[in-house]
Amino acid sequence: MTELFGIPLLNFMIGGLVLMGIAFAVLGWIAWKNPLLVRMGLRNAVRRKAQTTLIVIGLMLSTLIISAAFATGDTVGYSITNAVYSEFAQADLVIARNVDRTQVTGEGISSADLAALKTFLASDQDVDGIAGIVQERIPALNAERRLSEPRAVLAGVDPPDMAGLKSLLTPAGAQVSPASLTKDGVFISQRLSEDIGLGKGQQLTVFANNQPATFTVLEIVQDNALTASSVSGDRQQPAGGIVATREVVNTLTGKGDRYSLIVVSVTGGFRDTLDVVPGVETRLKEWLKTDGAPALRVVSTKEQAVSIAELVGSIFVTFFLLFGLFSIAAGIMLIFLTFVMLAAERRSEMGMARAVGMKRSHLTQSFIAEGMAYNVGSALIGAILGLVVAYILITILGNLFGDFGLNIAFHFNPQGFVIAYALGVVITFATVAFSSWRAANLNIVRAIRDLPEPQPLRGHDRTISGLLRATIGAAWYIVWLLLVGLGAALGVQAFIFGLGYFALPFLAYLGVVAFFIYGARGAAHTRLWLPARGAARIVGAALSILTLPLRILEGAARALMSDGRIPGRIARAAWWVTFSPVALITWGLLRTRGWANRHRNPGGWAVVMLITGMALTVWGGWSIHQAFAYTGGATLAILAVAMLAVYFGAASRPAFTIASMALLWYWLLPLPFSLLFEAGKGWGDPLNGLAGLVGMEHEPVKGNIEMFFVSGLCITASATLFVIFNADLILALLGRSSGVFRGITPAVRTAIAYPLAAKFRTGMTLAMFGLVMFSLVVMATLNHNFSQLFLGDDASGGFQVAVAGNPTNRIPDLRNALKEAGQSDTGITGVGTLVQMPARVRLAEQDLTKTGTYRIAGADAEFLRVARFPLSARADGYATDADVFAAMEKDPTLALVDESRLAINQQNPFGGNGDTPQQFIIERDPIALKEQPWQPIPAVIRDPRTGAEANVKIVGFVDQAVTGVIQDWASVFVGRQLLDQQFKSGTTDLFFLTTSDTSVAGEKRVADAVESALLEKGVQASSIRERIEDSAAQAQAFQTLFQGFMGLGMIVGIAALGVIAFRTVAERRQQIGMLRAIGYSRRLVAITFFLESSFIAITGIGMGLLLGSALSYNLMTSPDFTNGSTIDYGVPWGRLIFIVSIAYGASALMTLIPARSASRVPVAEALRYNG
Amino acid sequence: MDEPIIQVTDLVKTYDTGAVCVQALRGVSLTVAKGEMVAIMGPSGCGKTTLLNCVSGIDEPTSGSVKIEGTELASMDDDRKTSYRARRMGFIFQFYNLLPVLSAVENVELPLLVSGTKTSEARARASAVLDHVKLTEWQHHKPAELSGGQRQRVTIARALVNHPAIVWADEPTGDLDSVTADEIMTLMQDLNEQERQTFVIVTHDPGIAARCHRTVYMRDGHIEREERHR
Repeated sequence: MTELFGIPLLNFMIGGLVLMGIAFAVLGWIAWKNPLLVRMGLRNAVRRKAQTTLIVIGLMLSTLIISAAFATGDTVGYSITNAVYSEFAQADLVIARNVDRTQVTGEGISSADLAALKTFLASDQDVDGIAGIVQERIPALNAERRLSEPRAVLAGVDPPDMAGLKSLLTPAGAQVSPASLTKDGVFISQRLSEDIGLGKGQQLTVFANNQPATFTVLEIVQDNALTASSVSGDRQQPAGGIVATREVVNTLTGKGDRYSLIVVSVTGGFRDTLDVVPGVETRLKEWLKTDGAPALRVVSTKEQAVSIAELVGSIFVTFFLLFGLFSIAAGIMLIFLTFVMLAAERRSEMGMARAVGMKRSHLTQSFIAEGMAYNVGSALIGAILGLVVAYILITILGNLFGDFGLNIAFHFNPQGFVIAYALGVVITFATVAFSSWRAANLNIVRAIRDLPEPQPLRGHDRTISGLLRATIGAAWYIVWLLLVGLGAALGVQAFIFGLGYFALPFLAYLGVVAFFIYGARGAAHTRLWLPARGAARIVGAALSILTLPLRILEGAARALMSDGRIPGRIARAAWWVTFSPVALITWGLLRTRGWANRHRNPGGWAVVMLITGMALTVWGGWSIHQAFAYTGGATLAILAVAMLAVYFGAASRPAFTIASMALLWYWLLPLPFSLLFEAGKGWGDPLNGLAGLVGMEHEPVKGNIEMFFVSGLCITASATLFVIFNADLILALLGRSSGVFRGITPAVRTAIAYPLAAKFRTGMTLAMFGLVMFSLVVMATLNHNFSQLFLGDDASGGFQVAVAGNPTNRIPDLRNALKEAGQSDTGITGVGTLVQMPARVRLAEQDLTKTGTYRIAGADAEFLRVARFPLSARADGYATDADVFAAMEKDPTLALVDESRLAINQQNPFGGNGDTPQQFIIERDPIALKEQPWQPIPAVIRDPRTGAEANVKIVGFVDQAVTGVIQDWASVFVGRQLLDQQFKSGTTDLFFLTTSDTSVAGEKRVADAVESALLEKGVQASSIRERIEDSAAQAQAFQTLFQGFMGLGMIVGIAALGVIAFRTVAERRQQIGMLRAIGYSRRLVAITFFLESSFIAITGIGMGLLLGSALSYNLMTSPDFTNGSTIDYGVPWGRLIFIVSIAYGASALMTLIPARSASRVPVAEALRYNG
Repeated sequence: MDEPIIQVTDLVKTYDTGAVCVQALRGVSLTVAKGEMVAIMGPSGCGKTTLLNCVSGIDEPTSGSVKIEGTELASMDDDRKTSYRARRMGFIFQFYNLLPVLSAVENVELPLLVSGTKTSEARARASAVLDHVKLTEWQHHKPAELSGGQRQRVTIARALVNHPAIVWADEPTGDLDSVTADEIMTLMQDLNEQERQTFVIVTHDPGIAARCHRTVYMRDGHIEREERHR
């Protein structure tokens, strides 16, 4: 994998390293200026080993998740790339028959076209081989052992051409000469050899046109695109192959002198031709279009396949990163919480340090040093453990992908590892720096005397002018941070791009250097600049070395501004002239820092939040129509209103209770209405409803997968606020029912009282637990319901056994074929037949350019009678689904289309290259079709082989629940007569059977009997129920894998509980002594601590469970989300109980250790303890 | 003199820190009668608090014998000692040691709940004791909302709510101003006289000691002398 989000990994790596460099530079600067602070930090880090271990575990989680995501994506990308190389072998470009939507393309490629192509490429130095190949799927049999492969690939080659491709290799890698092929002797691929147990020199029997033919196996060759499954798209059923001369194949199939595809080999080996391929491709396409053969097209190139493989790898990384976001967020909260707790623990010593002359910046630096001590090691452990986790994921994925014929081998790119490490360090550094800065803002007297802090949100000056000043003070800070961020971003950009493009970094570099130098001058007045100055030096030095010519400019800037040779005023004036906008803002901010600091308060922050929230809401709803900004903004604004209410004197509890309830209501709408009233289903966006009253409704907002994360954060935060501000009601309730607890009543009381007294830490831990549980519950519930939808009873369509015929051995009537094969009593009670073919389809109202490719299935009367396909929409005039099927029996031009065609703006996820044939799409709204009457939709079907056309009328859409397993049912269904009469009876026969024994075993018996009886015809029969169960098991395995990955976040929550539990034991040592003195037994002390942790864990788990279920219910009952499908909402009880048990069990185990140590505190010693 | 409630014989306590051995008590013998109010005085580090801890059963002596109400402490396991403390002893500490997250009345009722009293009864008794120490109006306030004197009265209420036989007080007035200290001492004296409870008070304050029946002076881990006041 070389790119992520379209950006080269190298850029990510350099960016990450630069930011990490800044973090280490800050640490280095602190160590150089204040070594004592670093020593203090380091000694604190090793003071309590158990606690340090937990902190390291918490800190490493983010890195672990990023590292695991990269390594997993890398492995998948690398494995698919490997598969591409081995499948393409020497074939670099594959040319096939054109599928031009407006042309009649006939069947196969003619010898004339191949000859013309050879002539054109003869003079091309970059091409070293061209070969035409004919491929068919036929049944292959080892008659001696009665082992068969019903769909082996029979490849017919011209030996002289094939020799140029050098793609026939023995399993050991030796070249095999195609010249040794004879009319009685063939090569078979390794996979076929293994599947039917056939070796060199043995006899192979194949069946074509219902006639047997026997060949001697001359050689076993490696599987690749030329010898086995086809590169032109049929990868659904990987199977081994047979290589014979083209004459042999033509004789067998009787299809005449045609090729299926032409393979072009570019000069070079297997892996070193990617750079050359695009040039050849361009020349070839140009020639095909103009002079050559318009009936041909380049269907795929090795280069495209490799880039798709890499894209798949990066999609995996993105997927894992997105699903890991919950855990990363929980990890960041844990880091924050840890440092807030460390600060609380050292509050009085910090107050003392401030009293004897230490500045706030010193305290911040000491914490940063301590944080970095944890950080450096934990990020490394995290990155390495990420590889271990990835290895486990890969092993599981390997088993799952094994079914698709993909061999997964663990592989990681060192760049991904470095990025994960650097990002881990940077995320932790940023969080530690913020929490340290916050912790250092303490009142000296209150800290020394350990007095409680006053209500932080309550305003002293509650006048409007006071609030205005506070708002400007808070806004000052944001502008300041933005400016510093801008400087850093410019620096990083200059560093990354400056090496290649000197023009771009010129201004950026000069700006950054001058900006930081000027900032450094300002440092005489402010300590805040010190880290920036240190960073500026490092960036400056690095840039100076790498971009030597710019060194002169830096020198000039320094001379102008710092050495005093030019008077300061002139230097500043010169600086302003050059960089006036930045300079003015910087100067202004520096001059006003003191004022801003004096006036900044939570009221100001609330106003900034309110304005930002409202702006985001308006922007997201009425301008860009993005759910992220719209909902996030509304949430911010509602919280800000609560903060302002407290600022102006309202009590915290009602203010935050009302705000949190409003937010929960806002996020979980249409709940509770949808549970109570049918009319409530229309509820969804109260803001838009209000706006609609004044005629200002906005367009519907759009959201993607990021909304899963945003909603999780907002819902969990709201619920946490609600619980924290109201949980004392639980205490009161417990007080009344204490008889239930008998002997442990005092333990229950303190177990709830302590967490409620420490609202911040309890809230953070609840939020962590809640967030991770929420993500797991939503994932589990959605997966369960979608599995139910796609893998439910409807997926069988009313049939028990599916039989796929072989195109080279057509079966007009299955019952007759079975009778002829001597199988008359197979337990079959019904046979529905579908005759299928690939076709071009468009709506009659559209022109030819809108034609798309799709499957057409001609259903016979029995199929239409037996099939139980629920329809998601029916045309006007058809009251029931049965009416539609009955009408189709009478009129073969009435059509049904599977619901997947109803997609607006459906695009090829890999982008396509213009030659990729577009699929048939009907641009209609599925929900509107379901809810409003509509007239039959006229459409035109064309046979690309003959150009024959037929007009049909679409009268219904098959529910997607039907096509979850049997992919062949994703088709345009018409009456069989239409295909028989207009389209030469299609190309493939499919039979769907009902059986007298409807058990899975009974279905399997019938399937085996049919397959065995029709072995020579190459049919494949399977129990539909078994296929559904297999798909369900596979889906389950994928879900478990992703949930396991997301469950890593649970470790964060558990580690947080551990940190808190260890911390509380240390904090309350003296109180434990007192409790023991007044009669608490050891057991009661242990129970107190255990219950305390349990209270947090159970509340967090319950919160996540409730909120996750509520959101899942909303999603699954929303037609927008399910694309119009109606889903019977189900709760995955088993999985939820499993998740809850694991979560609670692990947290209980984690808190047992500190609870036990609390019970063993020596009483007299504890009473003397002073922290 | 009434029957003895506390009998201490040749009590030795040695702290072994690994590097040094500190002998905190060097063979202390002491008898306290039921209903007696005894003050223990002496310079810092003389072993007053160690003696109180060992005698009250919250620390283990190295050797020697402690009998409370005729029962040898060493013969009790930790659970029995704990249960005995809950039922028969009360503790008053210099720095109050109240649970900051519980209100005054909840702090006071804790020992009752521990010894299995019903919640409603515990609340009634706790309120009554708080009324006795003149804190009725403050019973629902948390410790942080009370003055030092009020906190110490809550501690006393907590120590007395179980009607203990012995109340151990370690520097009960050490953190208080003289007026409040006097009030607290008066309260303890009244309780001692009304309830006939035994008080063992560790103090630095000669004024406090003078208001007890007897003062025991300690120095370097042993009893130097005794002085009877009443």
